[in-house]
Amino acid sequence: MDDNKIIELFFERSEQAIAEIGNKYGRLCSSVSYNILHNREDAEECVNDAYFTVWNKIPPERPNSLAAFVCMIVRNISFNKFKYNKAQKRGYAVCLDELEECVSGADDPAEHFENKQLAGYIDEFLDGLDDKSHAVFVRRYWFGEDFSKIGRIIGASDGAVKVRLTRLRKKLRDFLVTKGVTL
Amino acid sequence: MTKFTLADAVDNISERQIHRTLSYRRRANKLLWFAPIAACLVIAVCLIPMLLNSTSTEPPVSNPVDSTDDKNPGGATNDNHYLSYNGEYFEFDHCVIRIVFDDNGRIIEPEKADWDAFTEETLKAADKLDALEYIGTGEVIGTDPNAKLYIMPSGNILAVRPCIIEPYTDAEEMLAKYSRDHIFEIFTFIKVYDV
Repeated sequence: MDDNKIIELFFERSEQAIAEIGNKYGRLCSSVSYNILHNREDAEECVNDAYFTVWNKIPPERPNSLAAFVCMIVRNISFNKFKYNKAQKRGYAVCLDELEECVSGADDPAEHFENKQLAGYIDEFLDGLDDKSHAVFVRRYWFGEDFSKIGRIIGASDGAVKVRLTRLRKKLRDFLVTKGVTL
Repeated sequence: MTKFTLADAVDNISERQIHRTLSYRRRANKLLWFAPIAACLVIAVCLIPMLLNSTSTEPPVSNPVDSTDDKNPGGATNDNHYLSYNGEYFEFDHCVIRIVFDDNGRIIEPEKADWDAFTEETLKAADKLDALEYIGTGEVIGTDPNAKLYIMPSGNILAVRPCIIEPYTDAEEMLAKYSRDHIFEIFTFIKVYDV
């Protein structure tokens, strides 16, 4: 079913919307959640919670990309679950470790403002990447996918993916430093 | 100024960027699905003029070998995709293979829903092939020295059994990706090697 029709079902408060979103994006959502949690039961629970959240958010929201909208909700819920579970250094924690290069600051209004700035910078950085590098970076660090899967998607070996990611991390770091972000 | 980690930066990736990433995969998939169609078109363009000029029922192959030949039971030639069986020729450039997983994500085998309705006697041919290569979606690549090609009376290919997916460790991931009902279909090319 077309995304717009699914969104219309949400606006009509039809429970069919949940079924349709499950049919269309269920596997993608499960994959996003599983990449973070590495536990099928937890992932399934997070996906169901995400459907409920989508139900509460639409309306009033009308997302431009339903897939991205659902994925972001699934990831947020799964990430909270991941933190709650205090997972050991395995699975998604490894991805985060690769990015962990300094200590994050406290949560305050100033930080909130800076976070918005940071969001703008990361958008600018990603806009400047070619499609392949963009896919590699986001799939690894946002979707938490492993090297081999990313390699299959872009048609490259695991090693090539790792090398590309190393360069992208350095490029992002340099980019953020030039923008005055303290890392 | 607040210190950030690169992980903080990643957490701020926008919906638009996620959409772009998902679109990249869709474009890649479209290309994969287009490949068999493009190959079929190329085959058709090359073969139709040859078939029109031919007065023989045999396909215009350089040296087709009958499947009863012990040295080449598959009856395949190296530079085309024909199989001879009982004097008839079958072209198998692509077909649909259904791959079935069990609950543990292990591959059972290719299967048709009405598979039990067929026996080797009711089939046009059940031919042992010496070597197969599935050239498909990029996710299903394999060879099997014991594979059999099953052809229905209509001449259509029913199945190739057994089917091997490499690497097996991908089965669980493929299960999560495709097989809500433990079955998915692929379009695949089958290339037969002369032995």
